[in-house]
Amino acid sequence: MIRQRPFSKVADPHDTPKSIFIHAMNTEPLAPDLDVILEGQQPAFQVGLHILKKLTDGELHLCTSGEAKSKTLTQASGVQKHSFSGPHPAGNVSTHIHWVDPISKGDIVWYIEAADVLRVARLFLEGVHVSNRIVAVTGEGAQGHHCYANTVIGAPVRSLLGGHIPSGMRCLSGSVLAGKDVSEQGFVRFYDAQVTIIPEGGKREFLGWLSPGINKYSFSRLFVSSFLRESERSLDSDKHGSDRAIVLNGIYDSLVPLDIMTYFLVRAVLAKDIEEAEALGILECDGEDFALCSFACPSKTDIGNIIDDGLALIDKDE
Amino acid sequence: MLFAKGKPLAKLYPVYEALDTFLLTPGTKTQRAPYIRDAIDLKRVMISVVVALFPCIVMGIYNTGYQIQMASAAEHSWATAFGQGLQKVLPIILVSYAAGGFWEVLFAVVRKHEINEGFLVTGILYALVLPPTIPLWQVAVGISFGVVIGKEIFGGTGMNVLNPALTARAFVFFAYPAQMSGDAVFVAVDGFTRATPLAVAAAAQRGTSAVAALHQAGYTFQDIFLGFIPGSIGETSTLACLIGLAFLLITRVASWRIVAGCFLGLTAMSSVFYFLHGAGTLALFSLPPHWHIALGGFAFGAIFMATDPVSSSATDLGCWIYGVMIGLLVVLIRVVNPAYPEGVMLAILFMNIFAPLIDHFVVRRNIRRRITRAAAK
Repeated sequence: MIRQRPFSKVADPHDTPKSIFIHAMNTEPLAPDLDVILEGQQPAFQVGLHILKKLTDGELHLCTSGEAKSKTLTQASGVQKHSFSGPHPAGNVSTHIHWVDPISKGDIVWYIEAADVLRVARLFLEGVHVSNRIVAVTGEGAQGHHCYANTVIGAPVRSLLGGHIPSGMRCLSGSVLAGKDVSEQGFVRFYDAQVTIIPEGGKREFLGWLSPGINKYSFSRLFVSSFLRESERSLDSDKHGSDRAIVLNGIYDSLVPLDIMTYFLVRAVLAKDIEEAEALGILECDGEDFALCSFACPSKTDIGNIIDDGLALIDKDE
Repeated sequence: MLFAKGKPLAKLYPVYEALDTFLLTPGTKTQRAPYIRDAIDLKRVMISVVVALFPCIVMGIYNTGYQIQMASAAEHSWATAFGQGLQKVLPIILVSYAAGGFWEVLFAVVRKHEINEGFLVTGILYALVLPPTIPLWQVAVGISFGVVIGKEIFGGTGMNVLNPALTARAFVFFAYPAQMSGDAVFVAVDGFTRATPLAVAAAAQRGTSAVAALHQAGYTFQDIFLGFIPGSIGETSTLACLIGLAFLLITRVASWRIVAGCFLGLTAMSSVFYFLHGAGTLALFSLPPHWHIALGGFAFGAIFMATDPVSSSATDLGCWIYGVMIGLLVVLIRVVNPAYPEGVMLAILFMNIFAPLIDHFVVRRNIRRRITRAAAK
């Protein structure tokens, strides 16, 4: 349950991290509200924090949203509290670590989801590994089943949707930005607290790239919709274009709140230049931090995937 | 399917794919996170640059015909002028697209990748910076050089070091100077010669006012700003370029920093020369900044050529430095260098070479920030 940065892998109990972060904010699309998940859990949460504090010589940091209302979070004691606000990825672990206690080469930081702090507490209080998880059922394809489900870790996706999923849907464990396609027969992944069901794309539009685009959703200003008021839109799994070499690179840095020059980092990773990648701060990142860059890139580049490959390469070398 | 692997026409799959995705959106679905994507794609970005060029294209066609009518002292008529201009300009545009397109298709087929849309922009940009009298075979040779040496050998769209349209123009400029510069090439009437405004200003006597010389030669600021002067097809009208700029800025396709930098650098350098002008200096010293902006291919180059996202700087600070340097160099070449009346093409190509170096130093700053932060703990 406790993971480490860099590399976002399971923490090694023999390490001593320089600090531990409690991830109590999630800005991913349709992410569960932590106020609901932590409702009435203040005593257990405090016990969990107390236990986790002993695992590091440094500080225990609780990173929450500025709008968090649950007393569990707002009245937590024995931790350094930090509040973040803003659009995604304000809620990412990398963002929190970067602004509170940045990672340099050689540093190790541990992080744990707020809901898992309760699990740690109950292990010590009751001697039981509690395997339930509250999972949010979200997305257009889950109409009629939107809820918070108190289920087990690794529950089958089907069970959360009443046993039946409409056809032509993509079943994701996690959010649309950082999740994984687990298909109808799949299971909720260990660390995920939501499932998102989105319609499958693939409709071929005649001269689509010329259309005014009143109903298209884009970060760019090349559609009529960019100049209209924001409204709810149906987003499907269509890629909206073919893969190309990176051409527009001025859009990436505005979507990454870390002091990282994304385009140059991607170049360093593709050239397998590990030293340059580390100098540019790859150890502070995870692929999920670049989800918005991949979303907005007109060349349909999988930036998060490239960064993850770079991190895997560095991890393998160490 | 005829073009699938193993089938007889498999080699020509890139051609099929280009036509197929031209007519219908590809309909590919996401295979990994993020599972939703922006509706934007590179086709739309490239087409928006071509749309931004429409004012220059229309104005260029009309002006070509208008110059013909002026030179042959014929009766002025909007429709005839446009028709005559179209007669001269359309073949150049078509040859540019056809010749360049041939190389694009060949490289795509041999390298087994999809035909890229970058060529839609290069083809029209190259056509618009040529004089209307250029022989069509030179158009073809130039764009071939530009596409192959300027882009494809580096890996194609997204990999080029230099602006391919400018590389093509530089090649014809140095290979066929008689058809690319001088007084006889910019008006499409046989045997007619008229010096372009920049040539007039360059030839004016030392110590005199360049503006006076231009007025004497029949050029007013209004004519020059609106574009009713001899010159390369699409670059004469500063107004048309500025309309295109407005479109590019509203849609956030071009980097405003580069354009602002170019204007800033040009204004700064021409102000220095203006400040220094006197009895013994070249007449060009006395040309005020706003004339420099309106004259020649500066507006066109700064707005459409310098802003090529692949060959320009990739950092924000780098864009400013890159733009300012282009502006400075344009004025330096125009005023002080006796060999070239116009310096925009050379200035932009020169800074294309330096853009990676500028970016390198900006990236070092970011790296040093990280090292300082690590050391401070």
